[in-house]
Amino acid sequence: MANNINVNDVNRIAAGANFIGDIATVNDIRIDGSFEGRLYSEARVVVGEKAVVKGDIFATFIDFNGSMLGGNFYVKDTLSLKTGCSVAGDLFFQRFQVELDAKFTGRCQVMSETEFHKVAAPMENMLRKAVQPAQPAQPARPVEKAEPTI
Amino acid sequence: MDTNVNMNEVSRISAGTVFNGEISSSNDIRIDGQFEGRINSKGRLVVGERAVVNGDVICTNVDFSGTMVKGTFYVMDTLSLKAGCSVDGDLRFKRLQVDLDAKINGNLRVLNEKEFDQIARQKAQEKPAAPAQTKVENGTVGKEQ
Repeated sequence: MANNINVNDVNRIAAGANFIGDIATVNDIRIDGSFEGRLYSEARVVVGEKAVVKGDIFATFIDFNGSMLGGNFYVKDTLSLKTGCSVAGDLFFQRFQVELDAKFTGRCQVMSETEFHKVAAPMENMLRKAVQPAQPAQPARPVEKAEPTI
Repeated sequence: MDTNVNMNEVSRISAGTVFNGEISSSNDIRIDGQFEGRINSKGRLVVGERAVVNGDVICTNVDFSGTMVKGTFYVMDTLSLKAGCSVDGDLRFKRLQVDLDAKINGNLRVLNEKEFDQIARQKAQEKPAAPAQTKVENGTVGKEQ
């Protein structure tokens, strides 16, 4: 993964944590606990070995090591199923990588970026609606420094 | 925060993230994004300055620097409201610490451990607020156009 990612920007569902609901983010998500619901990330979703996921995941990249009990993956770029993972659900992606010993039951289908945005639209809206007003208004350009007066 | 906390055990909702639903955790939680729903943690909850929380918080310890839009804190041990935070809601706690410049609108009440256990159990049985405001139809990709 790129080195320029700030750990504080990564969302994390730690082992021992259980999230139920919808989550939408512009940042990465790492899951080691359990998640049930819909998940949307404009970056990378990494699912650890012990993680359990149920529901739809929309992301640009997915690295999947855990187990998925039902739902679909919609991946704008690359979906990667790692050794030891188990997936029950349909996969939609642009690019696909499977390691030996990944268990997978479901359908695979290539999906264009337009199609991705179509299915992910409700989640994108949820993010835009909520995150935009929360961010403090940034000045369009840096405030000019006052001339020193002596 | 304790120095022996492993960062990998902390669940985190970062800035630029919105979450609707319910979290239950045996470990610490940090929120810098937007949260709506219910939090149930046996550890510490830390809410950052830019964070917005809407809903009930049931926790052992809370460090709160953000904004609470509506909801109630149930804190088994120490609730700490930091400078610059703003809270619209009720506070139930065993111990309370408030910094100068913390804005609070609500009722304050001390809670003993027995009451806390009762409330925690009661809240756990309640249905979380239905997050289903967005609907996604499954498996329709490719059938369109």
